[in-house]
Amino acid sequence: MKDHSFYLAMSYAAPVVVVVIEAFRLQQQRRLALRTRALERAAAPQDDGTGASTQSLPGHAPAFNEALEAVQEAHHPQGHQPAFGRSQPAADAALTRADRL
Amino acid sequence: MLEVAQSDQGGAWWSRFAAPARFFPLAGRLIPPLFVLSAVLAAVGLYIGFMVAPTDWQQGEAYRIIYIHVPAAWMSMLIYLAMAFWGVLTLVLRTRLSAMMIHALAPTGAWMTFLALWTGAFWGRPTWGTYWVWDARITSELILLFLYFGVIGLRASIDDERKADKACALMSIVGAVNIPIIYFSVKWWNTLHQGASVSLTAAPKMAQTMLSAMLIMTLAAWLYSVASSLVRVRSLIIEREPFQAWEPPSVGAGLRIGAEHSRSGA
Repeated sequence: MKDHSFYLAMSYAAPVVVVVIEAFRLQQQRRLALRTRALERAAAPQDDGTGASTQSLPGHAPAFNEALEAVQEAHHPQGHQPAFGRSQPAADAALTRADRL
Repeated sequence: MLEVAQSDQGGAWWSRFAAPARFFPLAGRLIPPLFVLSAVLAAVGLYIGFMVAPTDWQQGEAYRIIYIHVPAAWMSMLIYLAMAFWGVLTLVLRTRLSAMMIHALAPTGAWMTFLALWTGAFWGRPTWGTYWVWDARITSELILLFLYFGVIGLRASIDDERKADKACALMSIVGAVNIPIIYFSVKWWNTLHQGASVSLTAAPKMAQTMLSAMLIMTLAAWLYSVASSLVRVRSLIIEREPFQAWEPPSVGAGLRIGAEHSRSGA
């Protein structure tokens, strides 16, 4: 009987590689989706007085909330969070920080 | 929210989950057990397939590729049929979630098709003496891979979400014609690819342990496909519906308070 270990190894390595790539892609897609949502929320008119918040991303990594805050600072330096008033260079730096996150 | 309220008032119970607001948390709860169960079943299937099932008298050890090849091939067809189903719902009922399901299923389906072709090539070499042949079954499976690429590419190339959804739905439905061609190709044409080893109308042509391992691996592949598609559809919901409050307000309030603390601390 011939040795078929090469064909078996190549066949069984493929799903492992696929699962790893897909896990990475899913993670990446999720991060992108969260970032898109954060940007859209930050770009939208804030706090209409109904009590509904579009500010936070509960249930997600604190790092992302930090990124969201950075984006919000950049987009709304004079918005409903006066404590966050910043100059344009500071806002750009905040966006850069958000990009890194 | 309005959609949730409407679905509460009437309609079939399953239609309640057509609202992303309800589907999102449900999917989130399903994903971890689905992944875990998939991994456990894959481990069991591989154990039976490698440790219990005997060596094939004709193909030797190479036949054990079947435990990856057949589940991947079945999933590639099943996922496309599921996409066609969601495509019909997209065009008829115009539910947002059904279109997102198409986009979520397509990459996993493409991976499964790739795996079927890849493992088929590495099974073909020791048994047929070649990695590739323009056989009806293999060629139609390759066309299926292109159909998946088509759906993924179509979505990426159309900026307008609604138009992209309709186009992908239509492509999913039209492309489903290829599924019976793949399945029956070994009957309709004289192919190098072997006929079906498992049929609903006839006794299996393989040992019981081999069949058990293959079916367990198929179940594992199915659970994995469902879980990964659910992860993807959740990302799509987040991306497409950025102004919905999916999370419980209390949790949100807690984090906002946390954010305030960090600001004052800085």
